[in-house]
Amino acid sequence: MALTKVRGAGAEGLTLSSTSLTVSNGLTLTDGDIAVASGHGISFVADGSASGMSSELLHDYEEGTFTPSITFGGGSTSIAYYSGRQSGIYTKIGNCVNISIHLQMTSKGSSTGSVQVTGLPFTSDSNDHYIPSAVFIMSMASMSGGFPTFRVFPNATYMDGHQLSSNTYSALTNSNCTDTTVFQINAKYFVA
Amino acid sequence: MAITKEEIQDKFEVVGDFKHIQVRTATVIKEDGKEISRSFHRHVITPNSDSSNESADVKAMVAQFHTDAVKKAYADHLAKEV
Repeated sequence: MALTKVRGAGAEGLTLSSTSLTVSNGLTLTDGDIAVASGHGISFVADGSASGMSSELLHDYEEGTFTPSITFGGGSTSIAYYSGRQSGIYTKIGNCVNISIHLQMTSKGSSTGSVQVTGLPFTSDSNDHYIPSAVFIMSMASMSGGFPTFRVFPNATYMDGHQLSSNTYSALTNSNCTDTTVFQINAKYFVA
Repeated sequence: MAITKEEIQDKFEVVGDFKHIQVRTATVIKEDGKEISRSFHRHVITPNSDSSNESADVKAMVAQFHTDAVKKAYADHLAKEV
């Protein structure tokens, strides 16, 4: 129930109740932020919905950093990185997180096995989508299995390295890397 | 003018089928006690993580949520490569 009609030059469209404020023709803040209570967001319910829509509420936004790592077969014995070249940044919008990773080793250490990039900032969702990424590489060893890529493993916080050929793929391993291998990875994935 | 810096673990979330513990660490810069900057760094503790260097808060959550059953279920999940 509306309790107050705000009257005054340019303010006729405001309706104030005990629990809400309705603005009939746009809202402009000249300073300060809009603070949304936990569990709430910006609703787009008034817009039409596509088939399969599961949410129309933008409930989260966050920017930050994380520290990714390379492992071989799950191990990281004596792996070392150039100063400042073991870094990750993220931007999370709703249930989707965009990540950018820069990893440059000075030593690949002694662990062996499949390459993983661990330490993602959020747990991926449980859908078995295995989201692929865009990758830039330098200083690789033999790549007989094809060009490398990384996929986000579902319900986890790491990416698996693969080599892609025309009709199959195989694991990227320590043998494909040198002491100075560089991985620059951009990816986005949905969070749990 | 006094500039101070403090790190606070300001958000803990338990998510997913395997009780991953998401931790957000805020770095807060203050000038004469007034906050002038806040940035975030995140990490996740999974059931197979080494939590020995985590904070007391996180260790308590690990003890509560990362039971042997959860650890086994997560290990089985990780073995499910395609």
